[in-house]
Formats: sequence, C-alpha cells, structure tokens
Amino acid sequence: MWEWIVEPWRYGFMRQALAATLIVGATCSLLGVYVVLRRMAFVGDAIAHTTLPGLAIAYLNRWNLLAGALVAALATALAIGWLSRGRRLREDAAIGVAFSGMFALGVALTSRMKSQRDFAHLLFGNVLAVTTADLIGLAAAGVLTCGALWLFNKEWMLTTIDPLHAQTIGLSPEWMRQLLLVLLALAVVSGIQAVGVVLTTSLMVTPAASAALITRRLPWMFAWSATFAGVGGVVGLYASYYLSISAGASIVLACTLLFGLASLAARWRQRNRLTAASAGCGP
Amino acid sequence: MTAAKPCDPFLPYGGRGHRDPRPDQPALAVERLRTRYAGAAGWTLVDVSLRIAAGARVALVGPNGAGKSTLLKTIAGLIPVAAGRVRIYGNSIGACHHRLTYLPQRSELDWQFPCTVADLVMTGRYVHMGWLRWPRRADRERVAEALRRLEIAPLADRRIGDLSGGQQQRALLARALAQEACLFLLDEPLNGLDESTRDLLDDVLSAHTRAGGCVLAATHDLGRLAESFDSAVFLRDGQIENQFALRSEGEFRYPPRHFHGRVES
Amino acid sequence: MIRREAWDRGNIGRATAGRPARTHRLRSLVARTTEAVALTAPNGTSQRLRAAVAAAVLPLLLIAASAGCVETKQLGQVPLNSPASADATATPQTDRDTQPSIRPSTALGTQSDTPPGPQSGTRSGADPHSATAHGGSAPPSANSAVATAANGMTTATTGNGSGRTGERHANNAPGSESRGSGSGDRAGGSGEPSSDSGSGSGSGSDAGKRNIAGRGSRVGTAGDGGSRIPVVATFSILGEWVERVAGERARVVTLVGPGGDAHTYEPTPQAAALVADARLVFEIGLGFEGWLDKVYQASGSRAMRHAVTRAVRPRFVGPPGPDAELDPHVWQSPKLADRMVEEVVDALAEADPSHAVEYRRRGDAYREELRALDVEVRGLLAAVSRDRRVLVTTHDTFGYFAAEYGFEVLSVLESFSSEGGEPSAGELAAVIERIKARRVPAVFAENILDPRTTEQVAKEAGVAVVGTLYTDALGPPHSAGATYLGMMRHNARAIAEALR
Repeated sequence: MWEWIVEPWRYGFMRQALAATLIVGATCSLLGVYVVLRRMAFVGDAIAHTTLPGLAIAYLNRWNLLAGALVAALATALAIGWLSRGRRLREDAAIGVAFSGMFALGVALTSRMKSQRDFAHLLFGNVLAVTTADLIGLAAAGVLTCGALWLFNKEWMLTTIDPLHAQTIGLSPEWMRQLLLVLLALAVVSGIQAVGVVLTTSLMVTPAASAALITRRLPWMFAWSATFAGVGGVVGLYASYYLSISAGASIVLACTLLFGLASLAARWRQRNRLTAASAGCGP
Repeated sequence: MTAAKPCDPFLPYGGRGHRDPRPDQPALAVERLRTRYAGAAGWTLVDVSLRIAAGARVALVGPNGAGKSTLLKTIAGLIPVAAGRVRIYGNSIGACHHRLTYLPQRSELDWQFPCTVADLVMTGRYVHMGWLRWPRRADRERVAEALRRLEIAPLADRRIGDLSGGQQQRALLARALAQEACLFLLDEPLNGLDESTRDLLDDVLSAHTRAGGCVLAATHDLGRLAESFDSAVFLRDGQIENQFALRSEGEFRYPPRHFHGRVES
Repeated sequence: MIRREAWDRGNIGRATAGRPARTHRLRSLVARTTEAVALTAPNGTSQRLRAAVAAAVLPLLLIAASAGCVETKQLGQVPLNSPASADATATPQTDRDTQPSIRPSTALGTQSDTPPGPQSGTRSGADPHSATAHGGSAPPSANSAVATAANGMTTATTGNGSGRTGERHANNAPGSESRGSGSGDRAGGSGEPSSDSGSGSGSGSDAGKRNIAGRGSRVGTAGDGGSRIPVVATFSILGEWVERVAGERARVVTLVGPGGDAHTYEPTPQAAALVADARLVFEIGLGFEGWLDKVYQASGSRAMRHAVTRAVRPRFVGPPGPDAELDPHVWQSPKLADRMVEEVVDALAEADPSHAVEYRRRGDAYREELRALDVEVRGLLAAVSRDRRVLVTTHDTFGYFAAEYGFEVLSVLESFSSEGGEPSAGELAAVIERIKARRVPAVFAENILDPRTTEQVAKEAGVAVVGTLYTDALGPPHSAGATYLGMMRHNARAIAEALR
C-alpha cells in the first residue's frame, strides 16, 4: 500500500506536476470563490477561450506563449470591464462580444498555422510537461493572486454584497471588478498550463461551487475550495498514473467527483437538520 | 441603551477625504439639482432645492417614478450631478464619505453572499479603515453595540441569507449606526416590515436625530408619516411639489435651523 | 499551408469574363463559400459560431462579387473551366499559363453547377481507401473506375496495382536506366537535387513551373499539351513525389505544406476550392488524411482520388486486432516510397495518357533515386549495433522505418490519431521505465510536434533529446529536410549519430 502511494512520486515529472497542480489549484480555486459568488463563471470561461489569439500570435512569432496568453487574457478582461462599465451594456453581453470576437480571431490565426496538433497541446495543456521555469511563473502568479485576495478581501466582499454602499463610501465597485478580472486573467493563464484552456474553467468553478455547498462562511469557503482543488489534483494525478487517463482530464474529473460528494453531503446534512428541527418542535 | 451617542460630524478617522463640516451650513443643502440617467432623454430631477438641518427627520414622498430614489442616490454620490449643487455639511459630495450613509432597498443587496450579520454590519466600519486595514477591537465593539441597539445581537453569527426581511432591515440600519454616519439616506426603509420592527426603527432613527443626526427617507407609508417624521417633501415628476412640516412641537421649523454642533473653533 | 503560387498564376488571367460568366461564377462561389466556411471551422466550434461566420462572410462576398471586383486571386478558385474562362483562354490577352484548353472540360465544368449532393461515383471514391485500409491488400478500385467514367475520360481501365506494376517495370526499364544515372549522381553528390538556383528541389520545381508558365500562352495556342493538369496532394512529402513525377505537366498543389501536421489539419476554404478544381487528388490513405473525405464531398469535386498505398501492405499501430489502427506513415520506408511513386506514375499516366511516357521516364528516374536512398540509409544505420536500435519518438511514425531497418519503436504518445494526444502520467512513467531498462541513449524530437513532453521524458530518463527529425512533413525550403531524400538522409544520420 505504501509502495502504491509513493510510487508515482519517484518521478521528477510527477513531483513537478504535483507542485504545478497544487499551485494552480490553489490560485484558481481561491479566486474561484469570488467567481462563483459574483456569478462570473462565464467570465472565466470567456477569458480562457480568448487566450487563443494570444497563444496563436505568440506561437506564430515565436514569443513566449504564456506571455502571449497573458496579454490576450488581460486585454479581454479589461475589454469586458470597459464595455460593461456603468451598466450601459450588461456584463454578459460584453462577455459575449469580447469572447466570440477574440475566439474567432484565434480560430482565424490558428488556421494560418502549420502544425495544429502542436497547438492542440496548448489548448489542452499538459501538467506533465511543466518545467521548473514554468513552476516559478505559476508560483509568482499564485502569490500575486492570493496576496491580492488576502489584501482586498474586505473590499471585494463589500462590493459583492452591496456595491451601492461601497460606492457611497468612496470604494469603486468598478475598480474592484477590474482588479478581479485582471487576477482572473492571471489565474486562467496559469490554469492553462495545468489543464489547458478547455478545462481551466472547471478548475476555477468546481472547487468553489463544492465549497459553497457545504459551508456558509467566507473564510471556510476559501479553505474548502482550496482543499477540494488540492485533493482533486492529487487524486487526479494518481488516476492519471494508475488508470492511464490524461492528466488534465483526470484532475478535472476528480474535482467533479468531489463536487458530487459535497452535494451529497450537503443534502444529507440538510435532511438531518430538518429531522432534528421537527424532532425539536415535536415535544 | 436607548440613549444614542451624540452624533459627531467631526468624527476623527484616518481614512481618505476627511474634511471638517462648515459650521454655518445645514446638514444637507440641495440647490437647483438636475440629474438624468445615462442615455435617457429627459431629466429625472428638475431643479430640486432642499435644505435639511441637522436633527431633522424628513420624509420623501411621491408616486413611483417621481425621482425619490434618484434624489437619494444623487446625494449619496451614486448618480452624477448634471447641474446644480449638493452640499453635505457644507462640503461637496464625496468629500467626506463617512458622514453619510445610504441604505438601499433591500433587493439591491446580494443576500446570498456567505457572510454573517456581524460581517455585514462590520462593512459599515470599512470607511474608517480604508485600504489594507483589518477590523480592530474598537470596530468590533461598535458593531456589537449597533447589533444590540437593533436587537439582533443573537443573530450576529447568522448567515445574512437566513434573515427575514425585518431582520435584514435591522442589520442594514445597524450597519449605518456602526458607520457612525450623521446623514442617513434611506430608501423605503419600512417597506413590508412588521409593526414591532417599524417601532424599533422609528425609535432608533428618532434617537439618531435627537443626537444631532439627520434622516432623509423615501417612503410610501403615509400612515406613519406624522409620527415618524418632522417634515415631508412631496416629489412628483422630478420636481418638488410641496414641502410641509408635520410636527410643530419641538424646535423644528421650516426652513430648518442651521446646525450648531459642537464647533471647536 | 497551401502552396498555391502556381495556381494563382494560372488564375489571374481568367478573371475577365462577361456577365453570364459572372453570375455563373457567383453562384458557384456562393455555394462553395458556404461549404468552405462550414468546413473550415474546427470541430470544437459551435454550430452557431459557424453559422455566424458564414452569414458574415457571404454578404461581403456577394457585394464584392456584384461590384465585379472579385479577383480570382482573393478567394481564388473560380471554376476552372466555366465557359467564360474558356473564352478568356482563347483571347490573346492572357499571356500567362491559362485555362487548359485540351482538358475534357465537361467533367469539371459541370461540377461547379451541380450542387455537391450525393454523388454516387465520387462518394464511393472516398471509400476504397478505407477499404484498402482495412482489407490490408489492394482491392481493385471500383470507385475510381466510376469516377473516371464520370469524368468522361477515355481511359476507363483501372486495373489493380500489382498487375500493372510488373508490366510497367518491364516497359520502362531502359528509359529509367538512362535517366537514373544522372539523378543518381545528383543524389550522391550534394544531397540536394541540383537545379538552377541550387536551392533544393522545392524551389527547383518552382523554377520549372515558372518557365512553363511563361511559355504557356504559346503552347496553349499551339493546342498541344501546354496545359497542366491540376493535381492536389494532401501533404508535403506526397506533394514532392507527385511533382517529381509530373514535372511541368501538372500544377501540383500541396494542402498541408512543409512543417504542417496532416493528422490534425483543418481544411481551409482554399483547400476545398483546390480540391474542387483538381483532376487528381493524391492521398496516403490508411486513415492518414481523416479530413479529406469531408473536403472532397463538400467541394463537390469530381477529381479522381488515388490512395498511393493501395499496393502497400499496411502495418498496424500496436498489436493487430479488430480495433487496431492502421499505420499510415508509409513514407518512412524508401522501399515503400518506391512503390508509391510507381502508383503516382500510373495514376498520372492514366489521367493524361498522351504524356504517359514522360511520366514513366521521370518516375523511373526518381525511383532510382529512392532505391539509392534505401541503400544509403541502410549504410548509415549500419553503424548502429543491433541492441541499440531503439527509437523513442513523440508519436508512432517510425513503424515502417523500424520494420525495414530492424529497429524497435517506443513512442511517447501512444496514439497518434487522437487530437488531444495528451499522455497520461502512467504512460509517461512506463515509457521512462522502458527507456531506462533498454538503456536507450537518446530520444528524438519531431518537426511537427511540440517537444515539451519529449523533453520532459528525456530529462526524467536522463537521456539526450536529439534535434529535430523530419517525420510527417518536409522541412522548410533550404533546410536539410526540404526534400524527401534530404529528410530521410537527415533522419538516418541523426539516428545513427545518436544511437551509435
């Protein structure tokens, strides 16, 4: 049994993959708490997809791919924020515009690309091919994101609950939203490294949504979200190792499984509470 | 317990944008205010002029769409002033955020957010903290006091999503108290509340005005107008149609007396 | 990417046409754009997105077309032999290589009018290659017989490959001998076929085309075979073979150019247009060009499809079984390349019987080079001892190479066909263990694939990554892998060097 547990970690690439998964998982899942609470899941998805033109341009010009993705993601984030400022255009419409436009650009650029399989790798990501340099970048993005969450949690909380009050006391909900979008771009780009464009959203949303099911306090929600992502990452890597499933997919599947467990637990607890309440009322 | 602390417009704090109130100015002075929503053709408010002295409780009444909410939001700084002037204790909008609080209609808040009542009330203290500061003991004490004042102390650890409408309104008012604001702008504060909550809110607000604070509340509830407010402003189609005093007892007169707080000159 | 210079040159002259021609063009253009847009969208794209793109493109196109400013250059491929363009050919204003006047214009001319619905002949044309693939041997191509008939060609005989081969061999042996020595010299000398510019055969053949293009008008008026058959080859290596055989008799367009990955190619509208206008389409088959059926059908092409692996006994990827995938990487064996070039010769000769002798002559010369290549590769690899003959590559491309030269293949990506191609941790670990167990000295990166995974494996196993092998595509011009011969030589040298 011990052997079974230890065996995968004899490999350097597995240890690096674990480190990358944990870092990215923490980054995405912590930020995911606000993504879920602010009903922005679609934004994360949009940003993930709009990294496509950035990746394509960087690839065609032989620039750093992550930098390309980051620039594209930031551009999208700011564009969404700018388009939907002052409620002139609803956020979902702004996202729709930015998302489809950027994605179409990405598709157009990809079709000018010679080797598309090469590119598919980027879209799907490969946590098993993460290098030490990548890890440093991921850690930097993670520290930045988590640090900002810690420092500005108070402000985000207020602008989420009551943006009007925030504005009357001089705290601009717009700016806080922009800041969140920028961090979202950062987290998405780091998520692309681990699980790719397609699955990043789930890494961001699933753990936080699971946490929302089982806790009703913000600090606990952060803790649970990170825990779910971490456990999902580890379980996913084991599954990838022993069941020969592609790593990104198995990580996301593990997170989804945890979500299922969390919803079962939530339901069970609710039933318990109901029976307890009726028992309490009875006599 | 019932004796509210005197409201102090000179409340010292380390936040941004503090400016001393002008002693010779009323709590709120609105002069020929015009606003409109972005993209809208007509004016939402047309030449609204209003003066409210410290210690006054003023009701803002009028049919739906008359501009009550707009007026409150403009004073609160949520809608830009297109023309005219708004002065709060002699200063312009936004010059001194902590002195004013705006209680939106309850539907404007995200009550599903996973935080407790105490957390929500604590957001009232944020303006005194500013960036990168965390609640201290004094803040927590203020919050506890506000919760007690509104008789929701036992609910402090309850999730805000689990509150009833009346409890939500109490929590919001507790937040305003915790903020130690002077000018309260309330949007339909008494809507759909039970009798006991209304009485409590009335009580708290009158204590607030007695301590030198000032209340401007949009309301539909004409039945309680006389007992809850000193005067009323009737708004129709963005214009002030009428303003009248509801109570002649006390020192309240219209035009209202100027604020003569404890000016340390 | 598509190499389309040659066709563009051919098309410019034809843009001038009368009104009826324009409406005719317009109709086919519209039909084709819709198809092409639907075709280009990657598989992941939603239906809505596709529809939106199509809706956006069409009006623009119509406006442009009605303004009379649709130069064929833009979206290209106006039907090659609309009546109007045939007129244009006759007029002396076209000094370039214009419409092939001798081509049986009925076949391709009607093609643009008929909606690309179910065409029994051509549709079955898609099948035989899969039939070939699964049967393993070479069934007679009933489809191509049908296709030929539809094309109104006189040469309706499509015998099966093997029978013909011997015959042709016997026929053309002397000619090929005489040509063969010369090309053998070239191959032996610099490793690059000598041409005027001396920059590899890609540019060499381009130069050849340009020459022909310049002469086109003269020859065209003379009414003899100055026209060039429009031929499409699916990817760069096959394209080169066809070019070498066809010489100046055909305009060869390659859909997936150098450095491109034909496994995961997403067809563009131009690709569809090219296929539509082609008379011959050469493909590897064996499931290699999974996208070709779609293009072929959507473009409404009546071109004859030739799977050059008809005469090749296919290998399987992994253990053979009902679900085993066929290994399409046949070009990795020069011997099989020889067989396939023969197939190309036959196909061209059949399509253009009047120049059959020429094709045979050139084909035999090239096949001689290929046989020399086999000898050379064998010689280079002789330096590698038996127990070190293990190839670790990114995907399973060296099956035929390994079978030919006695290598064992360990590939990092177990399945070449899945687009997601991301290996699992278990698979990576297994490969690493096998590399360690076999004491493989080096692993190889490929020119068409992302090397990150390979690098990771190499680092973990403590072996070197050897520079890029040209596997499923030619390299860019002027590189060592710019030609098939150069590419194979480069690979053999790199492998010999690394494993010695």
